[in-house]
Amino acid sequence: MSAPDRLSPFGPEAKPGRHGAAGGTPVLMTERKVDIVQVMAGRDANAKAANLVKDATGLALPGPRKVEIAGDAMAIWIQPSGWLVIRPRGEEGALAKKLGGSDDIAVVDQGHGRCVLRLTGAHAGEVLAKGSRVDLHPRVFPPGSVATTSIDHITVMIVKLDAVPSFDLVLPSNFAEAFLDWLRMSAAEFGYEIRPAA
Amino acid sequence: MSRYSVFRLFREGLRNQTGWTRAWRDPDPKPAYDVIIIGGGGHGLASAYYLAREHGITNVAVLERGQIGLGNVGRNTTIVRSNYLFPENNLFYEKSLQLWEGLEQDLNFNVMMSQRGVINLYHSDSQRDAYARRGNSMRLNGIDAELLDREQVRALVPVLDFDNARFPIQGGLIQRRGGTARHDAVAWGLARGADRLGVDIIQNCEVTGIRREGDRVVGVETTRGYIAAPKIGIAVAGHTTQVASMAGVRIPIESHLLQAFVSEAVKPVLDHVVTFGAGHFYISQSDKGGLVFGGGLDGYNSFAQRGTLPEAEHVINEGVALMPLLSRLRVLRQWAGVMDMTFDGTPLICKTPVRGLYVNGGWCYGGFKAVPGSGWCFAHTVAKDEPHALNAAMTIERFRDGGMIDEKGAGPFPWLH
Amino acid sequence: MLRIDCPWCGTRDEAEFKYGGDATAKRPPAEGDGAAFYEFVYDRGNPKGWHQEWWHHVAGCRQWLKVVRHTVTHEIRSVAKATDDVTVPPA
Ligand SMILES: Cc1cc2nc3c(=O)[nH]c(=O)nc-3n(C[C@H](O)[C@H](O)[C@H](O)COP(=O)(O)OP(=O)(O)OC[C@H]3O[C@@H](n4cnc5c(N)ncnc54)[C@H](O)[C@@H]3O)c2cc1C
Ligand SMILES: [Zn+2]
Repeated sequence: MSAPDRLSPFGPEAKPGRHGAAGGTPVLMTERKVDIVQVMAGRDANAKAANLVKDATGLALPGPRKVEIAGDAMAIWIQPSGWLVIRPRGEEGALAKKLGGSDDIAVVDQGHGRCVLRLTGAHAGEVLAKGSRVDLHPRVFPPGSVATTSIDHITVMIVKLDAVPSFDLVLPSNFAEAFLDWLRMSAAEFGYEIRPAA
Repeated sequence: MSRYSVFRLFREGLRNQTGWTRAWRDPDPKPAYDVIIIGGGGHGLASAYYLAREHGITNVAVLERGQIGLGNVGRNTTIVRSNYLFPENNLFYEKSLQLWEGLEQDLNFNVMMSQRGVINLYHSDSQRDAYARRGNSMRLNGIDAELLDREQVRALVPVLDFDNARFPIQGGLIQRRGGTARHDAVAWGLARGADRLGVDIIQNCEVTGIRREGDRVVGVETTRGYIAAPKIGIAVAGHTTQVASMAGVRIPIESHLLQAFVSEAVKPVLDHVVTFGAGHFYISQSDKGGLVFGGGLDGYNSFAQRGTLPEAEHVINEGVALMPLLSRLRVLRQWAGVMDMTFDGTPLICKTPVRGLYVNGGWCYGGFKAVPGSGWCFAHTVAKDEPHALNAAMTIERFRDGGMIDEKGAGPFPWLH
Repeated sequence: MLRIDCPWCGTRDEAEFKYGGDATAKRPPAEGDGAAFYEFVYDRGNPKGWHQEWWHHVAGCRQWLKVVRHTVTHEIRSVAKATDDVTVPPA
């Protein structure tokens, strides 16, 4: 028996379709169906945490401001000795269980607490720049970078994936709907398309 | 120094305004005084005025680093009220409000005192209860207060956003005797009033040191030379810790910035002073038509006398949430003052461990309304070498002895009061 | 607008941070006497000049930082990790 489909944290307004200005290259917005697990290492336990994550997912743990990407899984640095491990949604809780944890490593399932929105398209950077205080220019923010900041008073992790540019935005689920409101306003002048969650 | 009156105004009108003379003298400092007050803001001037008027001590100098009226006394949003919860505060501020009510006659100076009513809005049941309690506490001490419901507030101030989705207005606590006064006029009126009673107001005279002999003060070093006095009162607002430390006295105060804003002038839209209960925001309309408003502190220690943008943005956000028409107005002027923030949000009017040295400070956001009351109490404290009952709790020792008077319940964090 | 150079995240605007006050106040041992606690809670230098202070990068890495800032010019001289010792320029 499989669990019923989850409600999207982006709310009922996030219906697939094309919106905003017509013509040009729209910015694409896709809710990613993922599992998210937070890994926090205690004092002197960074190497141990790295082994744990490597064994469970094959991902290396990145250093400050960096993201490690392998296929459709990734590990994001969020703070000293703290990371998020993200990969396509599997059985509820399985990733956290697989990672385990120990006395000096805390593993916490964030699959409901946070969510991920993918933003891609030539104008994606401009859409974010309107509300972000972080410099997103490729020279200082190349693919593989992450920055935690606040946009419209909402804490968001901006992960740069490629040069298109594409971004994964990691958001607190309870503010996802409010964030999408802001994002749609910001993207309207370029035109945008909401894609079905994937 | 002649009296101001309607007849005088009329006469000067007929002779092209040529008969006005300066409002106060510009004396050189004498070598010695009975009392020196450091700081020519509202509190320093009022203290000197009441020393002369109430206690007959007229051999007094007010030493001001710059010019009268350029400190916080001329930088505030001019709100005058006595709507406090705790008796240590509300009785003191009520004394001050009563003095305000007679100040123009006392000073023969128009300070544009306008008792237009101060309304504190509430947006939730618990906030209503807190204001009901505050109003009761005020009435128990003989101070006017009235709890209004939503429709009563709407009748008085229809321009507010009563149905704001996040912060709907449920009602307010009004003190009808509260209101505004013209801030720099108060400084000028007090300077003129003190001067007429014999006080020397000495501008461009910065105190750079306080001379002690043993455990008592004997005088001050200034940029205009040494001046002796057996009693010295400090009333320097944001610089309280700097000046007190010249005598080796440490005072629990931090200096923080508070900004104020004035919009372009519009026709009358706001007859009262209104404070937003869902944030820190207060607004009134000046006689010229500008909307005068302010909010919270910039939030970190500063002596810069200029505000920063994030707080300006925050204040304006609050304003627009309360009163949407603000979004259509331009801000004409913005500035900041250095606030003397104590660790419980309540001021100090007291003696210090050094004999002959007294402190009047820690006025936080609210020292303008206190000007006459504080001057009156400080004059008493300096003249008698002991506090009046109204300021007996406003000591430095209260922090050591657990007698904090923390209206807001914010704890020992000056930037949160 | 302050720009605070977080040793973890890079230079960010003050809007991402929360102020935490004077960083020189040291908590005395629990058995310390009243006078020591009075100093810890209430006694501050409040310098008009260089100030060591706590800032919390709440909307970033969530680390406490020790910042040396001038209280008149708002110039920031250094930003360090909470556990670092910092030097404060002469007045
Ligand atoms: C933006 C803003 C809004 C405010 N709004 C309100 C309000 O609505 N209602 C209210 O009740 N209060 C308000 N306040 C608070 C009120 O203005 C102050 O608490 C009060 O004015 C401070 O006392 P003062 O007038 O004596 O200060 P000041 O006018 O600052 O006087 C202190 C004087 O000391 C002088 N001085 C400093 N160091 C020396 C030295 N070494 N030697 C000689 N002189 C020195 C300074 O130059 C200054 O003139 C507000 C303040 C600000 C900044
Ligand atoms: Zn950081």
